[in-house]
Amino acid sequence: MKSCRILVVDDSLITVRKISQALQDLGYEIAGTSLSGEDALLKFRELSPDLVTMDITLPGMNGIETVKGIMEIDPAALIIMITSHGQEQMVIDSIDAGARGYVMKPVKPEILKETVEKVLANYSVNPGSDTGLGGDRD
Amino acid sequence: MIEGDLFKSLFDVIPFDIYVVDISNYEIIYMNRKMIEERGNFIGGRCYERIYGEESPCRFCKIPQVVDVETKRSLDKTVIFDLFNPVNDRWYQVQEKAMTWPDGRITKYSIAVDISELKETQNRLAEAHAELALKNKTLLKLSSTDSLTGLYNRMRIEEFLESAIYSARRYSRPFSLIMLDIDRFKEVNDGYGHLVGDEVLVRLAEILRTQLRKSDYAGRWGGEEFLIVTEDTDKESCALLAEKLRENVEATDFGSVKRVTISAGVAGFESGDDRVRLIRRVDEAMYRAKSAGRNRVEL
Repeated sequence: MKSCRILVVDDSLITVRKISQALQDLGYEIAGTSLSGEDALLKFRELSPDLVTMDITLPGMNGIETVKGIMEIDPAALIIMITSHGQEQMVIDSIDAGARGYVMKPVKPEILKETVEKVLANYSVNPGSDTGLGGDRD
Repeated sequence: MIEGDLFKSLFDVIPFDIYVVDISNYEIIYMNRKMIEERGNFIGGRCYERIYGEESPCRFCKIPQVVDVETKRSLDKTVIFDLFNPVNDRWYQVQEKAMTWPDGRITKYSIAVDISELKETQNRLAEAHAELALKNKTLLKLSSTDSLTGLYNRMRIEEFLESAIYSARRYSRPFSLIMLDIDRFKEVNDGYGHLVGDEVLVRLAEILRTQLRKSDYAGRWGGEEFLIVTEDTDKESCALLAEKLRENVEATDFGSVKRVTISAGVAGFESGDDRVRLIRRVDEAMYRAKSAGRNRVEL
């Protein structure tokens, strides 16, 4: 498997640990973890991860604002939202903002695996498809 | 207000998790029988550590919503919210309110109803919405992208042009256009085959992507012709940008074809312009560049 470095963002310590562990068990590398949107933006800049998992309900800067911030830094960023029922509008807003996939809480490792693989296969950096001009700029 | 022993006797028989926390130090001072049986006895521990697995008070903590933080008095307000507990991976609907414990301490009580099964069913509905949003997005992208170059297709770039004309008229925001065409592209196709021709188009699109700014929109206008809409840019600055593109293309190694050049026309929006007039002007400028010997930019 091509090595893939992931940034895990969630305001719950336990969730960060569980998702990180599940991703490591699947053979992915954890580039870093963040407990807030503000910190996630800093870490994204600093670590340039290949993929981000993002809790939709973060205190302060919420998940959608954080997705927008990350897409400003890198329009080809791959972001998966961690969400649930009751947050449909936020999920749709985050997808409009550039998120590529979603996983419902509680996170099931097999669903996480499927979603990460799908997002990597469909959207991985491929000059000419999704970066910069002619991509998702509207 | 329900107090002390009465609280205990009432809540020990209720089949939901109930616990009470001292708001001054987050100490758990009561748990009902059901919660102790299922989760263990955490009395004396901190709620954020024992119940939620955190190292410091939870970021979602509702104490500030049920107690006046200044006076430490109950706001007599009940809050209800859905909460995911990552310790046991269960969803709860939680009801919380402040109350005075018999010894006078101000506390917060929480009644947590496990809604995990309900959430599981509802999540399928949420998934359907999310999947639909993703599909829509893909559809929009497919319908607005040129499949070979990944740039916008003609339909989409025309839409950008229309919206730029609208902003220029309404808000007096200047914008300009570049029309560029690969010189002697027919010779590439005839001499090297269409696959090589396609590679040249893809390579050129990459140059546009890396050289253009965020406020520039590039689309494939037709065969080997590209149209670029540059927002908030007058025609002189736009001509400099076009010249930079021309130089960049000229300096690029196009593989088996080696060297490729482009001719570009530039036109700025002028009052009274519509799409047809503007395109005609930029097209004429491009043809002037061709007739003046190619590999050049004309205003």
